Amino acid sequence: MAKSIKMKIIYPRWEKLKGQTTFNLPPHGPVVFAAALPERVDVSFTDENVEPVDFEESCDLVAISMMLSTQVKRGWAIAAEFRKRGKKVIFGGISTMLHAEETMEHADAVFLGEAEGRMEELISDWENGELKKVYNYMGQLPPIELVGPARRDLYKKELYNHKGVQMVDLFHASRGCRFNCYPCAVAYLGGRQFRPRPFDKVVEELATIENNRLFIVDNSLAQDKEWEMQLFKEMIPLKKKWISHTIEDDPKILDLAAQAGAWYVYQAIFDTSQYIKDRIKRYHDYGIGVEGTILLGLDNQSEDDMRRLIDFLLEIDLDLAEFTILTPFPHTKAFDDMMRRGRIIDYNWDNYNAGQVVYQPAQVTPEKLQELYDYAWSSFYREESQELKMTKLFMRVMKREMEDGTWKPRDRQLIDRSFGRKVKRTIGNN
Amino acid sequence: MKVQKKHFDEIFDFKGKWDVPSKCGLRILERNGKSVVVVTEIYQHNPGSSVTYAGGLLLEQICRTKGLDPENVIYIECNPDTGSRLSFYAEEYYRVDFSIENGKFVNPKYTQLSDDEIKELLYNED
Repeated sequence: MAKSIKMKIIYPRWEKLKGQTTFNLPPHGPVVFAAALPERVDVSFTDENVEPVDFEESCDLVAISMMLSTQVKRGWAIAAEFRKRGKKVIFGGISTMLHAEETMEHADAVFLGEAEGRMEELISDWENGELKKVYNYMGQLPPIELVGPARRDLYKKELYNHKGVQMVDLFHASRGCRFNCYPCAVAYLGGRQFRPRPFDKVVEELATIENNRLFIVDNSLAQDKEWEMQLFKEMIPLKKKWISHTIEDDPKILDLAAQAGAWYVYQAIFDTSQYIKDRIKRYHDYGIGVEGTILLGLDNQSEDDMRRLIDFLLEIDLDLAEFTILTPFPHTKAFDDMMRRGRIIDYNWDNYNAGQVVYQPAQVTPEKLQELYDYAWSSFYREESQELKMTKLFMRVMKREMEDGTWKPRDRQLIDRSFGRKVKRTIGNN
Repeated sequence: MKVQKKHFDEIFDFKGKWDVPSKCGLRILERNGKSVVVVTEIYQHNPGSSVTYAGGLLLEQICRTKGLDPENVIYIECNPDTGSRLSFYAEEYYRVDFSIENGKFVNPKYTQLSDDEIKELLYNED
């Protein structure tokens, strides 16, 4: 079928957190959305984090895909530029759903919900000059079988490369979450029911991904033991190496995960217990690295509690640590609680980056919490920088790739480039 | 983290933000000629908007379904005790007062109820 509509999909940039190493990963939402479009739509994609938006590029329709609250204001500004030029702009993605009412003021249409099976309607409406202000599919989740392979062909791959090393590709094997965590809006966005994709579709998509290193972005793999074990069994022959969120703490599952290529996982560190120490050790026993995720500023944390937690991290042999400040994102219980008590002190979404205090903490001042957050980063990476710890994790994955014959050398043509920008090489091949 | 049935008399189905199918616990008490409406968050058993986020939308739907006069309603949100050891799941009650603009309940004002106020409103039948 001849392509007849040219759509430009844009992923707005956001300010990265100060003092942290920035790795730009290829965004998943826009290419999953693109896969749901009718065939007659010809798509181009711009990730503004790695290249500027060309407002003069010829196109019929602009789609702005947003994941983070820190993207919404920039998304609105981009929309204004295109609308000035007479283009229709539609918005979609996670943070469009979280900030829908405000986003409507900057859009010709907002799409709320999951895109699979819904895009023919939107495109036909546009073709007929009947674009609706809202396409509301919240709570009407499409059959999970409709989720097709993401359009990774849209990426300009060289822009996700750091000195010849390709960044991980993102992938998802399920949607929804049966948990109801305090700071999280996933249950509102993707439903409270865990919805795994069929294994044949998962394997089919994984096999098409050229990149051997992946980030499985599912909210948590620890949703259903049988499913998790079967997923890992299916993945073993593919020899991928991957990062994910939490894996079930069960020896059989950890063993299968390791065989399936688990490289490292994100694990919440919420207290200083022996349980946490043992849990980290169990991952390591199976050769799986751990990036601790530490949330600061919960109501039950005093200054001493937070300092103890930060110091504890140095005792438990974490491979990496990521600190965040509790942030009351809309549609979370944290938001409800803070809003009811009048504790939200900042509604500037640019500051909702989990690195800035936007609410009145219960036991310390906002300034003290900010100071503790800065202390956490500097204290954990004092002896060994984030880049060096990351390099060590890379060495481990390279060793495993060499053992199973999947290792590929870095791209020498990009050795002096980092995310598309020319960089000065320092020592050897670093 | 199951919400005990002692917190509500029925599960009320409502349309949350963007018409998302949602559920909450509901108890309606008659006190001194007023209807005391208690909506209880049921967390993972609620597939959609929280009672707080739904706010005036929920009050409007309860009044319509139950035939209540909004002017005669004392509206209370309950975060029930779930038996969680996490402090942010502790039991709390808030009285919510809305302004009415163009027939819609907007600008909620929250007042946390003390133990005495809870007893007076919810358990004192005189």
